[in-house]
Amino acid sequence: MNIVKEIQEALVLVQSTLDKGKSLTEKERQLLFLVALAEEAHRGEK
Amino acid sequence: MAKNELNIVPPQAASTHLAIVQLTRAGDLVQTLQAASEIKKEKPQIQLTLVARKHYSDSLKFLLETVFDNIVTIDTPKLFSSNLDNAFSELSQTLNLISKTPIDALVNLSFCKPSQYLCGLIKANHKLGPWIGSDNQDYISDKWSQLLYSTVTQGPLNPFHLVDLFKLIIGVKTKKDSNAQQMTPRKPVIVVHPFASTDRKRWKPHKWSEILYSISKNHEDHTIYVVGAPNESQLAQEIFSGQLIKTRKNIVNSVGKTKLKDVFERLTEARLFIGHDSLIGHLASLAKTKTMTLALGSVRPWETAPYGANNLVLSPRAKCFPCFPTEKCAQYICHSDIPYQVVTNFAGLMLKDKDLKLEIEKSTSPFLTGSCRIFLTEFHKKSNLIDLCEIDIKSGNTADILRPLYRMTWALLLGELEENREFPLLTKEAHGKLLSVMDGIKYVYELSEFGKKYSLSIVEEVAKDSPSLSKIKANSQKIDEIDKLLSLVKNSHPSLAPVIDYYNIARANLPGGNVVEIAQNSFFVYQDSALATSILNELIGKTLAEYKINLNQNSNTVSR
Repeated sequence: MNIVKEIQEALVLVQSTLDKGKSLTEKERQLLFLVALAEEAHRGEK
Repeated sequence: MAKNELNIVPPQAASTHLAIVQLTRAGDLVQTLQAASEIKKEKPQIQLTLVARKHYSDSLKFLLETVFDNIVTIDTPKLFSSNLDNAFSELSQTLNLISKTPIDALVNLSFCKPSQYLCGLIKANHKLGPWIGSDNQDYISDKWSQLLYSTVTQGPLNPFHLVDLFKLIIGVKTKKDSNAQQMTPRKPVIVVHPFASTDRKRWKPHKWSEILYSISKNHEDHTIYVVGAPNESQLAQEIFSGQLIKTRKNIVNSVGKTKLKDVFERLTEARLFIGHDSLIGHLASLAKTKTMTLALGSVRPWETAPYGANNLVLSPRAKCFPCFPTEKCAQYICHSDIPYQVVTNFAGLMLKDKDLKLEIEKSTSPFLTGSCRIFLTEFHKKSNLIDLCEIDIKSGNTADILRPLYRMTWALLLGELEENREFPLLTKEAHGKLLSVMDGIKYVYELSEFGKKYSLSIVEEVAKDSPSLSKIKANSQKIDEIDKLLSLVKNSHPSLAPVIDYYNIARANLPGGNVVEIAQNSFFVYQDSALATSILNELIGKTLAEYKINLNQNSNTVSR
């Protein structure tokens, strides 16, 4: 499985944590950082 | 919750290990370096860590290492080179590296989403600048970062240079710039960087061909080095394809052929740098070289001009300048506002070792400089913050008039810094617009007073023996309504956006662990908002009064 699919699947779990009003775990916050970085890379940021 | 993840203490009181996050571009890294070098001078024992993108920091390592004790890089391609587990592992290693020594204060000087998540992940006793907590909410606790976030890149009304804002966020005392320009002996060298990050910020190659030809002819005893990155080689080829420029022997095309370190060394020996708003201009100011910046398109020169005294900035008079990077523009009207003859003339003046301001004042003429504005940077005598002083000043637009008034207001309220200034020149049109701004100010003031009243009502209700929940709710709803009305005032009076946005952010970041504390702090924020609007009201009022006095004096002179 490529990293994009892995991130997409992991994001579903993050959304579910947020929907339940729970605090995000360290790993979930790391994932959100990676997503933000990937989005910027997609827009051309190095 | 997330607010308990830090204490709010100014960094100068806490920091022995200060970590600065700067995830934006190379130019911002140099400006961060300029601010960080001041705190290092003030506190030589401080341990400084920089967190930056590898792509931008590697080429500047030779400079960054002179100020920062540790440089930790974010290597995006490496993070995504394999699978998600590997990315997590890489990131954890990076986070461990950043906080190997416990961090007293973490400062985020980059205003991008990744930096905010990263600052949420880094453990530190105190955090400044924006970060995202475990509740996925944004936090900015310090006033100067709140101001930066609410005004920079939002419009033409931020009155402070980015380096000054960085210094104020970090907590550097504003002192006189001790390093005057060109302390070291210089060679007959001129460095030119005719490029910028986007097309709207730079002239077309043919215009640069003409300028380079003229300067090389006027200064035959000088060597002109044209510098740039490998990805700018194609544009350089277009510049050097002109027939006239080919005849000049004292121009060297070194675009794509030299490393940044070599360019910096060249700048340290050069007598003059000419270019657009770009990384090389910031390097030139770091090298204490005289600079001439041609600010075009979306550049806001008062935010990003080369930092230091006596730097020359030319900008267009076009009404659409400065635009937003996202606005479509096919014409680039502002590009034709700065005639190339002005650049070549002023280059000659800058190479003379005479009083530059005086020389420029003598040589301005409506034929040449009618369509462009001329600024010289200087440190304000009282606040020591950098100022863009216009030469041959004419009546400006509303933003030009309001920017210094905002600057005086923020400097006083947030930094307890006083700045004396001359009254801005007004036109009849600007006079009318300022009267309308004053109407808006009255609304903001009145709404702030209502905000104080309802915040206080909540505090009083909670203090009762049996507080009424419905009354607390009703007051809270009134405060929500005030915030909605304030955004309506912002729509009808866009020039009040800085004051409305700033206090919106301050209210969104109210400290406090219970209703009483939050309501008390809400009261103080509304009180500050009322105070800011009264100062602005007074400054605008005095500007209008001065305009009327001048008008009466002129009409009396004419009637005599």
